[in-house]
Amino acid sequence: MERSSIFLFTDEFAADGTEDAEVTLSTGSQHGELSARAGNVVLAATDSFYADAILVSQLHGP
Amino acid sequence: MCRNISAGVSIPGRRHIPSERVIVAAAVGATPAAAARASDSSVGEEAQLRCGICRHDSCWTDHRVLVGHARRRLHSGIWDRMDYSNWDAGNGRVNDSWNRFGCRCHGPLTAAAVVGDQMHLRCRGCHMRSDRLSDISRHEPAAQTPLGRSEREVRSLFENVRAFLKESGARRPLLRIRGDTWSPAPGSSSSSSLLELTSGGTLVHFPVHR
Repeated sequence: MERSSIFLFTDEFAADGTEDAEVTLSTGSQHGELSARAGNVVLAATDSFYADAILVSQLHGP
Repeated sequence: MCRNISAGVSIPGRRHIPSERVIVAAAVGATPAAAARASDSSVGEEAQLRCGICRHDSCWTDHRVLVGHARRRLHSGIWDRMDYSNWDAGNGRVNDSWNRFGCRCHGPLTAAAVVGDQMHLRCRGCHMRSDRLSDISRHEPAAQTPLGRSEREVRSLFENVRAFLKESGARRPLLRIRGDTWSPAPGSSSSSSLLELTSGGTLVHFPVHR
């Protein structure tokens, strides 16, 4: 989890830099930007939210 | 979201709550009018599961109404048909059980997360601590009920996340929740959702406020 959510889920779920993928919940406008990334995988596309995933290795490029 | 991973939560003075139903219920938005209709004593047992990121007290009322509304609208009758036979808190002595799990302040719940076979709960009194307060009980719903649209969307998301992790080999995904993803629905004071993700082989349920 990002730092902003840790208060709820405890430090056990805090990002520590070893994450190997990124899952982003966003709105439609943000989804458009995210989905343009090479290697992006759309996990959800509904009226109310989108979910995009990408491996960190692809996020930073070759 | 998998029916095999439904969970029970015991709350002081309240009945236990199957978390799968909480997840599904909380994923459903409620308009003020709909929420008002649902705001009655019948939703009391869910009242103390506060939705996630918002820490304001007002959120409690909203979430109570929301969950109650969703329960009534989508799961009428289902709740009581859940099989609690392997949930040892289902005997009305939830305070005893709660105490057994280690919470000494008996505060109302503020959050719940399922990690593997265990449920992490936070009450107000223990809010700043990271405590494991309760176990999770696995059980199957006694009845299979068609899912509503919101339920299907949530379930699809969870399944797709799982599939992505499995297929990609990722084990430590970082979850980012962009701010306006969880903005209030038009005309509504608030709405809620819950997410479930796998991380490092563990399963995590958690509520988020939108």
